Amino acid sequence: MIELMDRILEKLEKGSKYGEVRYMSGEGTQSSMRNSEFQGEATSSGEGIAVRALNESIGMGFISSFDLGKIEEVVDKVLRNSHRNGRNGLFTSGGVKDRWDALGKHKVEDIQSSDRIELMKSIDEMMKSHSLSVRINAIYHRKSKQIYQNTSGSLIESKFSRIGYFMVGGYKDGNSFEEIYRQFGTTGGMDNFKDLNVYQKIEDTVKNLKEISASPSAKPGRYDVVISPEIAGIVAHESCGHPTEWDRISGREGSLAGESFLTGKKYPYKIGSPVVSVIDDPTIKGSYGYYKYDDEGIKARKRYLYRNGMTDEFIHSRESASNYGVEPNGGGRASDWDMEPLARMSTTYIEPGDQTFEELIEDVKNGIYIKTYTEWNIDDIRFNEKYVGSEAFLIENGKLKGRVRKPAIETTTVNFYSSIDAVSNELEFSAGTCGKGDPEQGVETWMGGPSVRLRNIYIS
Amino acid sequence: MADIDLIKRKVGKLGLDSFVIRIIKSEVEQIRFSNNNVDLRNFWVKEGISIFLNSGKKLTDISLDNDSDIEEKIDRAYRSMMGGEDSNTFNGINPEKYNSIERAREREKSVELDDIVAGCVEGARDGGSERTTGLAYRTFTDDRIVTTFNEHHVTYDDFNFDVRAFNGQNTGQEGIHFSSVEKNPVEIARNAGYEAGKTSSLKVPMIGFEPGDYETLLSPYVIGNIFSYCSSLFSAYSVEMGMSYLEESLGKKVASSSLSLMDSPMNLSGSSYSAFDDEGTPCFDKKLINKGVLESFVHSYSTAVAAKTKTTGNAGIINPQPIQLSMENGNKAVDSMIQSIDKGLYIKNAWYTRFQDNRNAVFSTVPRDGIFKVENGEIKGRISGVRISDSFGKIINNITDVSKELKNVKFWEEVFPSIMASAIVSDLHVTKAF
Repeated sequence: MIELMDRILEKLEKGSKYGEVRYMSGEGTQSSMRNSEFQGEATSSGEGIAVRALNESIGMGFISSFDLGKIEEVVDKVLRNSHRNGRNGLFTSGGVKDRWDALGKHKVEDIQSSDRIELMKSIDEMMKSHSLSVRINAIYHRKSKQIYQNTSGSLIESKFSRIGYFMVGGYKDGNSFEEIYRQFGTTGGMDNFKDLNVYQKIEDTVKNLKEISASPSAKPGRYDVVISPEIAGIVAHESCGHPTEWDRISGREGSLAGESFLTGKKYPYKIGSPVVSVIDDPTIKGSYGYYKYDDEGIKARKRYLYRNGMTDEFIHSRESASNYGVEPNGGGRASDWDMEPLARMSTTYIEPGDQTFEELIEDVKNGIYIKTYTEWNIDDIRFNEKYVGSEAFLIENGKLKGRVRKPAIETTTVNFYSSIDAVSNELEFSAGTCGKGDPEQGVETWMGGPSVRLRNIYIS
Repeated sequence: MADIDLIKRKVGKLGLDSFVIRIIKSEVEQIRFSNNNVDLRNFWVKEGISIFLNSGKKLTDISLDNDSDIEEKIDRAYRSMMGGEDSNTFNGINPEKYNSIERAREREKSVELDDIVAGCVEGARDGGSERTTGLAYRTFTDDRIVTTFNEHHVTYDDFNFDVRAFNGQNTGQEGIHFSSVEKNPVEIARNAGYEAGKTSSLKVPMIGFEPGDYETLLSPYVIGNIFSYCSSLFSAYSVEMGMSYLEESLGKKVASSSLSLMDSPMNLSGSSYSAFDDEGTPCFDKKLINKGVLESFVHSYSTAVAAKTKTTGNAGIINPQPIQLSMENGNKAVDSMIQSIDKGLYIKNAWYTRFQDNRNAVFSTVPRDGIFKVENGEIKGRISGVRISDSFGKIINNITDVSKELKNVKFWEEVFPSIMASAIVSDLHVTKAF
């Protein structure tokens, strides 16, 4: 493959100011089960080459055939396109030669079909024992290989595997339906996957659905609210990670997921309370979005997105960094060989503090603790957001009391972060697939944080 | 490039009850632009090979990007399938033999994608936009399917684009899909750009808003978003699974009599036109809701056998889905629908629809790109920071009027390619952030 890539690179060197070629292959398997019935197994095997050229503008091409004539046709078209009108900001650094892998000890290719099915069956049976009428379980893994080269002398080879698990559970009582979704994921092998403790976490989630569905609604009004690491994670992802992707701030994603409330602001911009900092870090071993180098050959590193209540660093790809006038910081991710790299998150989390969870609760007279969530969404500038609790409790005089059903926070990003007065010393993560771009690219992420206390939040 | 006959010979030697081989070759061009300038030109040459194997109650599905080591990959999947579990809910693929469909659509060569982008930007500027962002695609597809029982081959040529106009904080957005039967793509782009620009530049003040239930005119994009996200309610697979509140409602009134909703895969104007489904059953148009009455779920052969009915040509072999939703139009122009509202809202786009109860389709979605307060039949001002928080069942029961204009709408992953009307919904629950 390197030989073929060298030939492409040679053509790019002659025809462009800067060029890249990226080969990626992946072998994946997915099995699923619905209400105790096995639904089948699907395998996927994909590979192809992405080419990028910079001249008066930027052109990219993607091809899954290794017919040299067809590849040359694509490269020629990419070069022709790169001479048309358009923007041509692209950070062109290189000279990095490295290899990395994240395959774990128990390799995904050694996972037997029967192992996958046994896990799903055991979880299905456990869900059934908790009276769930809807039980969907799916397990999937993919082993990927990537070779990245550019005309500035970089050559980076990587091999990594990711394993994911997805479940939906539903408890039905007449017309009332209480549902829960969970996703788990890791980069590595089955040993890393076992560390996720999927069975126990799903049982913790589903065992109370019946009680939750029978619980009363909270009286609408203002409460002090404590959110769990799970809610902290989705908040960090949606209202910090996305609005600090520079390609959103600059408008490149404007017709899709939108821009950012940070567009046109002076930085650093005050987001909220000084007790809150949010980090994005691709280098956490075993995390679902782990990588050593991004898909543009830039070394990954930890980034503070919000630091002590102020914006700090933005997430950059080569293109966005060039347009902003900084060095890229390892945020350029492409979900597969046929996708352009975009500024993306990996593991995004609120930084823990030094109080215990109990200390957070103790100091609440009239509040609500939201442990898990269901519906959520946010507007296209990442400012107006909603999180609906699934498992939630009243807090009275520093003690957790009875359950409340579906308390909803509907607020703004600045109000949310400004209302935080304490964060706990816990740190937990959950997995997600983050969508962005067109064609839409789902990339693997973790999100998390500590428990977080907010004062005087309106609950509907 | 993969040879379908070679794959057929290989699969034929396995002694299966049934198989499906589908090869979709595509050439796709894309231009992405923002703030009136081109960011990137993308070009794809792709080949998607999907192979479905079935023996008794055993099945497996293989997806490949090319034919390298294909025989070995088929053998591996076959061995894993035969050593694996039965799929007891599977009832086979459609064994009926149909006339082979051979349809080659002329490849449109006279249209340059750059001209469509220029049409979007110029149209938006003429409509009053300060800056314009979006993307445009043209796709040529060669789609060939061979099953144990049938064989078809078609080619398609289609376009779609999104254009979003910005005017300070105000925005307008249009997203259109169409096939090469449309003779003037650049004009379509220009008109869409103009409409987006006009929405962004409409000179009305920003005004306050109180949460509550409002008579609301929803644009084809908002209606398309809701129907796209709720389309799985019409899948027989969702019904089997217990995830559709419509499960006992066939033949019953589930919506206002103003609503007729179709699945229209044969509508040639749209980019989701499909001649056959994933198991080689020829597609056909069908009513899902006819004047408020639920007329059909969508089926593959397997789900149809379970439900003791006939396939609707909507495979997904395991999980059938509507292919190209469309609405029957009404009688009123959009302008006169606005004039009919005494006190209400007009919402032109929505995104990020998420459910707290998928079975009963209880959800919220976030309006964008033109949210207006209407009083005495006139647009009085813009509002912001609001959310539609309601349920599908209530919304379709509360449709009081449907526009005569239909639009081929598509917006990113938010609105599937569909042909939608505007509709007035009474008592739509709208909330806001505190």
